[in-house]
Amino acid sequence: MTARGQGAWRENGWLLLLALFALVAPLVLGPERFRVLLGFVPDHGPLETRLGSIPAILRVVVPLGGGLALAAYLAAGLTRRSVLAFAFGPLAARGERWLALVLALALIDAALFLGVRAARDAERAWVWRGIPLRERGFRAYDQGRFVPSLADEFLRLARSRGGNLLILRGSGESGELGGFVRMEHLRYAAHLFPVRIFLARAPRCSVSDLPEAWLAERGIRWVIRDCEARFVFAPAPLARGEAP
Amino acid sequence: MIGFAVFWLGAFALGWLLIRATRVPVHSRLELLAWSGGWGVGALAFLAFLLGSLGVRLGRGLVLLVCGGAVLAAGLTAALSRSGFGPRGASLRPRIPAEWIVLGGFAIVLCTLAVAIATTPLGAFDARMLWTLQARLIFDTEAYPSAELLDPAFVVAHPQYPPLLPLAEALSALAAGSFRERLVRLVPTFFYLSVVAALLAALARNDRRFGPLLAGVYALMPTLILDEHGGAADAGLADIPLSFFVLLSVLLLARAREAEWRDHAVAGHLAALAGLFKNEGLVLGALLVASVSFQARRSWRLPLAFAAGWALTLLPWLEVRSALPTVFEEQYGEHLNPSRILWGLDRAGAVLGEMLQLTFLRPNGAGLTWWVVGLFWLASPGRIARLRDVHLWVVPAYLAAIFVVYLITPWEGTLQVRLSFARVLLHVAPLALWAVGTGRRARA
Repeated sequence: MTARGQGAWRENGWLLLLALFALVAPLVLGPERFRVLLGFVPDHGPLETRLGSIPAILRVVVPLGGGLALAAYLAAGLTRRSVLAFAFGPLAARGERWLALVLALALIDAALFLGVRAARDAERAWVWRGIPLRERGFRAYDQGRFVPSLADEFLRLARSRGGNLLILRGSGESGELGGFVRMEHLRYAAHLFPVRIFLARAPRCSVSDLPEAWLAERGIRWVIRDCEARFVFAPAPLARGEAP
Repeated sequence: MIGFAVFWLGAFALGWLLIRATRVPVHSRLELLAWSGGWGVGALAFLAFLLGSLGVRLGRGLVLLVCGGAVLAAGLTAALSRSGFGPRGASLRPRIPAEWIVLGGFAIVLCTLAVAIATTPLGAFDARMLWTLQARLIFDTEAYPSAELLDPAFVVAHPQYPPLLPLAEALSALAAGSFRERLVRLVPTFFYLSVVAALLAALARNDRRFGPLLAGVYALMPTLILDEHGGAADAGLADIPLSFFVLLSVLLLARAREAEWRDHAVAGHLAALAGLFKNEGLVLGALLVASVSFQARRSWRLPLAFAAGWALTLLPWLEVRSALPTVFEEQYGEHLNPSRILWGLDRAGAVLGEMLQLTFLRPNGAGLTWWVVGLFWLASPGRIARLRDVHLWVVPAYLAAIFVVYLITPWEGTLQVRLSFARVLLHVAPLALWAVGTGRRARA
């Protein structure tokens, strides 16, 4: 548990290096490079882009951790203790000290991001305070051409009138997302369930391109004509003659 | 809520009955809980899949009947048995400050998961548009595969994806009587607890010194605690259940009794369940079949038993899958040809670079997990032989297979690597940590 004379300072050197890195890196690297270093490049998820303060949290948490590491280094040096021997007991004294060290670093990294997670959750709870769960979903998922509030409005209509929704596609390659099936189709399908969404190729972009039996079998009562370059969520009830 | 509780009790009871029926050796109460819970959920979903594919309606009554029956059968069996519910095992009370730190960290993770599940909607794309939508469809139609899923015009992401996660989620909702996102999300999150417990029990039994800390490295991996889109424990994805069944299969292989074909057949069945949770499990299962064959060079019975357990579990699914439409599946099988691989070589450097970066250089992803794996392996005696003895070679072979998939994928550049590789690493992380954490002679 104890180390002699200079031994403790030397033995705990890894902690000093860690402390210096944590204290200096945020200052030297600047916000953007610091962000990249810790892996928080802009990502694909909606929550991350809205809660952009994670790098800011890290700019506080990392130097704070560095300060703690420095304090631990000084305290351990002054009391001639090995931090690894204290934390890992006999594991750090059997010629396997370097294994204990790599475990310690892995756990420190995990602890850092556990702190980030807790801070992020607290921030999110603050941003979302007083907002009902469904509304929170709107804020989280409102992306691109998917507008959850429009979907909800339609859902109310569809519930009163019943029936499923047909999306007519005039073109688009099959097999690849963004071709025949668009991302928006999937987003609305997930949001509107139990209303089912069906997708059909219609060369004239008209319901009459499809057999009546096909429409009846699927209980189609609503239609979106998605035959232009951009997808617009504008479901219309089938006209009398068209409805099955 | 009573129905929901019956579902979970039934899952544990069914898992426990399976462990007893197959005489799988478990060594502690913790291990018994981890194995029976996870296996029970998988077995319930598998049973529902078999019944559903035979046209049986998956109604609430049936779910409660099966779960209640399992609870009753387990209770009677335990009451009539001398050993009761099973082994007690050694105490895992922390002994050094580092273990207390891990335990404290794990407690914080559990709190954050509970708060997140209660207060935030699902974030991950696959969780919302794939697994949960399919689960809602099963809940709504009480059928698998439903007429909608068989209809090429029905809009759903990847109808051909494996059925067990949506089935398990739907069963829990059916038992509860309503589909609440917060409740069904507990199913994939539960597997995180199961993997941690199974890994901890196995590692600690093998090496009480480093074992709990290695399990802690997994439990606190930044990917699992941080990234809602990259595979966090509360993300509602199928990656953790997959890794659970792969780990169980390998643990069972490691403790299989000499020349005991039954253990190998059960291990094969467990490996197949991984493939029924996520397609990547099929690749891992095939690699395990090869690994078991290499290991038992003189005997053909054991590899055959493993392969039979694996294939017989998978066959019904492959039959059902052939009838499901391909809406926008990646069709890797069709792309796997020499010309496509040659075409993909253009991006080999970028793909490999991205994979290495995500493995070793993302402090907010895998953290230092793979450094730990690599260094522990280097420090282990007989490290080359250990690649085969504890099936560790499956890990690099699996990552090599995924590398080839990234070469032939229809996705642009390295986008798919960035979106999925952190989760791919999760599939084999428990196996790798267990394999490097076992002592000089592997004792699972």
